[in-house]
Amino acid sequence: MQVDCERIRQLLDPYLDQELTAEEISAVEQHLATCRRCAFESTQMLRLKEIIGRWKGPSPSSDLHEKVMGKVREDMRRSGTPLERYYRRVALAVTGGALTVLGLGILVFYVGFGTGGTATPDLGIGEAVAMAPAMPLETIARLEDLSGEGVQAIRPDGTITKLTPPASLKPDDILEVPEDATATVRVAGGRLIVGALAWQGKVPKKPPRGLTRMRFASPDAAYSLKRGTVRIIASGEGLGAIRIDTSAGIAYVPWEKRHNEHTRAVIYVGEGSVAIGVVAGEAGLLKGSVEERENLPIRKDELLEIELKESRAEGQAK
Amino acid sequence: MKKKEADNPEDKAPFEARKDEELVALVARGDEGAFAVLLSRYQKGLLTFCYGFMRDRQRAEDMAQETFLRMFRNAHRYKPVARFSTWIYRIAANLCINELKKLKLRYTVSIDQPMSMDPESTKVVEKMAADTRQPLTEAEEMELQGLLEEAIRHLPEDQRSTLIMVEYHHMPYRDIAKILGITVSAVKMRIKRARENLRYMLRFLEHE
Repeated sequence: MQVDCERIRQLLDPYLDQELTAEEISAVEQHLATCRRCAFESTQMLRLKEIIGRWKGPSPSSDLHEKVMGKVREDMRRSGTPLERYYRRVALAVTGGALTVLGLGILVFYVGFGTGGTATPDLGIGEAVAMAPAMPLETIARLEDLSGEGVQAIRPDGTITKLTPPASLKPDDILEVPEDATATVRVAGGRLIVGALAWQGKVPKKPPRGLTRMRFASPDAAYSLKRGTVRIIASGEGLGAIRIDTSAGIAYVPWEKRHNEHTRAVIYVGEGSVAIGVVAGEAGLLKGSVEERENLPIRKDELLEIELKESRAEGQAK
Repeated sequence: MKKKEADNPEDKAPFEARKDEELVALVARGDEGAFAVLLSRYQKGLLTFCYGFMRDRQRAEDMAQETFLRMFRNAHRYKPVARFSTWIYRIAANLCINELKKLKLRYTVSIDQPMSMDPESTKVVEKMAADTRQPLTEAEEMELQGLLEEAIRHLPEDQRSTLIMVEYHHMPYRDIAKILGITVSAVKMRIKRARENLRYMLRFLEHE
């Protein structure tokens, strides 16, 4: 391998940093042995590298160690160990406890697919939780942050990405929402599973009492959700409605042939501000923007947008 | 939180001898001793790493603290597919980059505006340039550190952060590329430019 002076200029830095292949090293050294100018340049660069290498960097303050330990201890005191925190999110979803998205500042998304035509097993919430980790994650949830506060996704490999809308989440992403921020989640296709809660809960036979119905306004409307009391019920025209499991999470009714554009969506907020996802039947979720202002209709493959906010009901209640 | 009392230094030995990946698994279970060891191992390196982005010692320390906290909170999510060091430095890089965007502190320096150099202070560089093995007096060492600090601070952020990863952390180019989310070619270009700029700033222009 022959290299000229021009090529040496490109190879010199990686040569000094030991980033070249054996063949490249040999070629460089052969050239340096015969080219005085490049050899001089190489010596200069090596000396520069050695001088730079003496830089010691900033010294940590004497209390840095204690400061960090203090923060971690405080974090532990408030929320437990990392593993306890993770398992507790699952448990809260199961028991219907206060999985407060904004309060915790963390929303965990697992996104799964609808089974597309095949019958969906009728599971209770408990069973769904057990199944969730094994569910195939094939769909990307889109995130739209209307707050401008800054939402970040933490990937399993530790990468932290600030999401600017419209952004996409990947399976296993952890979505971190600042307190008081508003995040709008748009789900395209499949199911949105919150935490370990899969939306394959059983369909209650009748609506529970004392719940509030709310109609969706336009996708940009800011609905605040009252703790544990808001339920939006679709009312189809004699068609199958997507119901909600009242204990904690969200259930869905498999899309049936009789469903059509008149079928509405049902979204339920459990105890506390449980993160909401869109539920639809096997035929898929909604896509595209929703323009109707009332009684949101769901069509096959249509996209439904849900907004999460502080826990104070503002929507129209029936 | 489980505490590992360390009245006797020998009690620390088991953690000190363990690999990062083992310690992270313990941290996920709330082991304070394991976390303290990782903190000790990485605090200087992380501080310097963050300094490469933030250019300000206090801000760099804030970022380093935040990185450790994130590492702790996400310890259960770490999978030893990548080295722990790559993982934690990636967390730090993303935190710093996001913070810089927020602060809109993208420092750039034009090569046409070299940093001011006291003619006297270049002597230590000249001395080093003549023979890098020469021992320096304490005063000369302090001068050198000050000069290097100043020169490195004057680099554009992308060059500075990349250069520090190479020269201070001795990271391979491919690891740097992974951490910063850029190509290896981009790493090479940044290094080349950083060294050219430093050479100019340190008046390292010895002619044949």
